[in-house]
Amino acid sequence: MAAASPPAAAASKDWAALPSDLLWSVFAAAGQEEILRGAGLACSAWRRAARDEPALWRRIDLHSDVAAHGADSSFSDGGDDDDDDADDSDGYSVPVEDGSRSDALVEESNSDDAENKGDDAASVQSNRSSDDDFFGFSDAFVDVEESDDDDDDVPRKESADYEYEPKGWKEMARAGECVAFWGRADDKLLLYLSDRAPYLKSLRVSTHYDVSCQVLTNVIQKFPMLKELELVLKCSFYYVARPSYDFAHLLQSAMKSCIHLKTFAIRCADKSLASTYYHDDESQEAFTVPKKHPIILSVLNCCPKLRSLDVTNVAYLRMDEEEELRNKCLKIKDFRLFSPPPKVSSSESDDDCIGGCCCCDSWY
Amino acid sequence: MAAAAAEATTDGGGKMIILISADGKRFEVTEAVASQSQLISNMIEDDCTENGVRLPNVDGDILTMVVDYCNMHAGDAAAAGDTMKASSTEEELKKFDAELVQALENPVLFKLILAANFLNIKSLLDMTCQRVADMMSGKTPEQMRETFSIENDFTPEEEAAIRQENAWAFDD
Repeated sequence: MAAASPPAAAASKDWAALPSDLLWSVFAAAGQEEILRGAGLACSAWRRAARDEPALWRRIDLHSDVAAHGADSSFSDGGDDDDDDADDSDGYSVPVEDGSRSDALVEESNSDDAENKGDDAASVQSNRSSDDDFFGFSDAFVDVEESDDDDDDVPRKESADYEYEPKGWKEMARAGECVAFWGRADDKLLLYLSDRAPYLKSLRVSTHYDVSCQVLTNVIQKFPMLKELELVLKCSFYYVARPSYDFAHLLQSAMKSCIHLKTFAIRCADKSLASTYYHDDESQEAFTVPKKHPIILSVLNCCPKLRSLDVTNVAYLRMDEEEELRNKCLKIKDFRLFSPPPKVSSSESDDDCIGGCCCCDSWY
Repeated sequence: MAAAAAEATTDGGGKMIILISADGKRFEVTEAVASQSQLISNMIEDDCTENGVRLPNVDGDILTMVVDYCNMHAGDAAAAGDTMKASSTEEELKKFDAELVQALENPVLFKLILAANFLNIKSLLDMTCQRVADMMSGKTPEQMRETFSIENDFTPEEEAAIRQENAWAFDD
């Protein structure tokens, strides 16, 4: 009599005890957002199952806009993000940070890596506070947020001075196998990722607030494998930062470590805000572009593999030395430079500067 | 006991295999049907199915569903040569699968997943896992617990911490 041996007995009807390999299959079918919004919070067994499967988190896509394009959208061959370019810069809504979230991050039940975490948290902490001390940006960002966004729900950042020990989804990214992160980010998250995802190949982040240039650029340097980099930055980022800080210079040096970069995009988070700024910019001499940092050129020089470049709505980047630029850009398949937004409200074409430097001479 | 039945052949000449559920129900299926289960397929290869295959952790009612499923899908495979037949079968199959999946609820779904996993029937496993994923879709943790009769074993602090962090990532 042949008898197949039973698997480890699972109490029938007990979904919490569903064997983890099955749970993974379910989770894989459900997707990251479902896991994080619901299933991963149902009980600790499910949470553990979700957390402990690195394959579920190799590509973290918390980008609600691109979620439809999905986990199978390949990022490795550069220039493949053309389709969602237009959506990406529009689709973010104003973030709501719950200032109290850190207070609850008190206990870490998972003892096996508590030690590591402690160290990492400490280093994050120290980086964080030194940045804040040095640049004193946080307040400036918050102020701008307050005045420019008419969304009253944006709570103030209570304090930069707290423990950073993720309990939720960020813990999922700890395995070190993460190769792609798409989603919202702040300083803490970027630092967290940079410690844990040294093999990151694709970074697509939107940072509406609370990101310092220093952290951003430090973090970029920690991802030597990066092939795709897309930064959707809060518009005021450039303008607030500029008087005291040279973002271009930092970015320039950061890009030197990204020798594998194929796709680079930098955008403002909010187009309407962007055009406001551009108009201001045009009329005020005070906002002149720093002349010493032809950042696009330097990016081109640093990243020989670059095939797609999108700096469409960032006026801060310098567009001079056009001839050299044009020559350098010949090998770039998908090339979009800044084009000033139309003065009238019809804004259809402001993002469609493809295939040449056609607009770069019209503005500076 | 099962020897006579096991040696019986169908009209098509395929060898018959006896599956015996945990509660002693017996199912006679062709090799083609049974071998959709990787587990049984391996047993057939190893020639250890003569006396029937005892499946001590699959109940009769679940095994009934599994056998129905396999019968349907084996028909598909058999009809693959005949294009006319295959296409109609394909539609029937889709309908059959959809009806099967729609009808699945706790605790049958749970048992069926375990059975599909144990028997290693990939298509059935995928289908049932997808069904669970669909049931999860758009549910809050509370609804999730209700749907799946799961007990919340987080401390309130723990849950609040996870919730806040996750919500931050998605806030809209």
